[in-house]
Amino acid sequence: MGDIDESDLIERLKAGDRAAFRELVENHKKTVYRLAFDLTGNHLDAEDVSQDVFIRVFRHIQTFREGARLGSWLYRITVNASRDHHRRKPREARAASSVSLSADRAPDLETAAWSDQPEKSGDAVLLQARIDRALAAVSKQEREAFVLRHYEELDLKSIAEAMDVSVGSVKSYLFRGIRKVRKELAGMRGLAPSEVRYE
Amino acid sequence: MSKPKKAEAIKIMKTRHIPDPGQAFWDGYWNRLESRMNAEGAFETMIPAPAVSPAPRRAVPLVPRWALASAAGVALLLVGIQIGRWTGPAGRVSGPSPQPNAALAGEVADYLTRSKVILLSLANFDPGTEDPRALSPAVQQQVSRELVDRGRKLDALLAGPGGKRYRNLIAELKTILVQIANLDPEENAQAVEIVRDGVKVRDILFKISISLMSLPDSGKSSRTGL
Repeated sequence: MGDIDESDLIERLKAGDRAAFRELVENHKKTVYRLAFDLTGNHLDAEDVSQDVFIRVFRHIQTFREGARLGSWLYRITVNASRDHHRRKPREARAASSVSLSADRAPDLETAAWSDQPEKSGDAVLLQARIDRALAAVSKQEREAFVLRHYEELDLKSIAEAMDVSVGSVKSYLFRGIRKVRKELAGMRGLAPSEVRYE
Repeated sequence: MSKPKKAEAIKIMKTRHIPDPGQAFWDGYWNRLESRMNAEGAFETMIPAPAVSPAPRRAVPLVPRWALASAAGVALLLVGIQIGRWTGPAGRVSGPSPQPNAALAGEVADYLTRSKVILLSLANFDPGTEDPRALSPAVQQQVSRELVDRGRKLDALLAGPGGKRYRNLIAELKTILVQIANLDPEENAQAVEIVRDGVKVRDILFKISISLMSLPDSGKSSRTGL
């Protein structure tokens, strides 16, 4: 999440400068939202979690150590906010979220229907659905480890810090997570995945 | 799981497409966040920085850790020895020697108490101010002779391993009681002083008190009424 030097921004924020806070939000809202989406799996929860993250940043900015990386801090806060959101949310609401996930996909389905290459577009939608189902099949921790390793491309140590677990635990989560993902993706060879990811 | 299969699964997973919520979403992001923070009072709840306090003064001066550990070990050892003395089996480490049986203990207690009475009458006598004849030697000499005889019998009865200390005390008492039995205060007033000194030098009264305390209660109470 951005390695740019933001020490000046942090200092202004620590002094209570609301404009500095807005600047920080504008700089990081897309990356925080993207990670929150990967962890929660739907748009509504992703926005809630990303807002939780920025509120926590504002409240706890005084505890941010000088010289520490803001990006690492944001990863950790986002993982924690996602866990808290998951705990707060009743099971029924989580089930409803999976429906809203389909709603999130609605534009894709619409695009597929009107695409010049309907077969390819249909395969892409099917592929995304299978990937979402695979991510939903793993545990919360396995999903966190997988997302941070393969989507955010963090090293094991950074993942361990973000998840507040040992590196060994991260390896274990990754191993078990990938095994489950593979099981869900069985029989998908032959699909031609595009390398599109939201930026 | 083979590496190619794992790599293939990861490659597929990396194609995950995150739908763009749209420009309107991003344009209104700050306003929605600000509204929520205002509603929750989040802008007023910035947690202050932790106060920087000076390093706490060391309660213990800089002493090598090995020295502290050694001292702690020695202290622990001493405590263990002390606890062992208090709670260990009687007589194994420093407990009292075996006691005579209850009947014999009563006999000994009675003998010691009577001897103590005789000795106290002498110890409290002041030859400088009192007439030696006030000692009533006839009664004391008679009692002393009886106690010497009883002492001989008790000496024989206390032949066991637990009776040694009582036999020694009886032997010391016998020496003094014989002197009292042969006392003639009308002819030799200094004889009273010699007996008194013997009682003090030998700490006989103290030894009698200690021996009475170490005897079983039943013996003392049943025989002496103390």
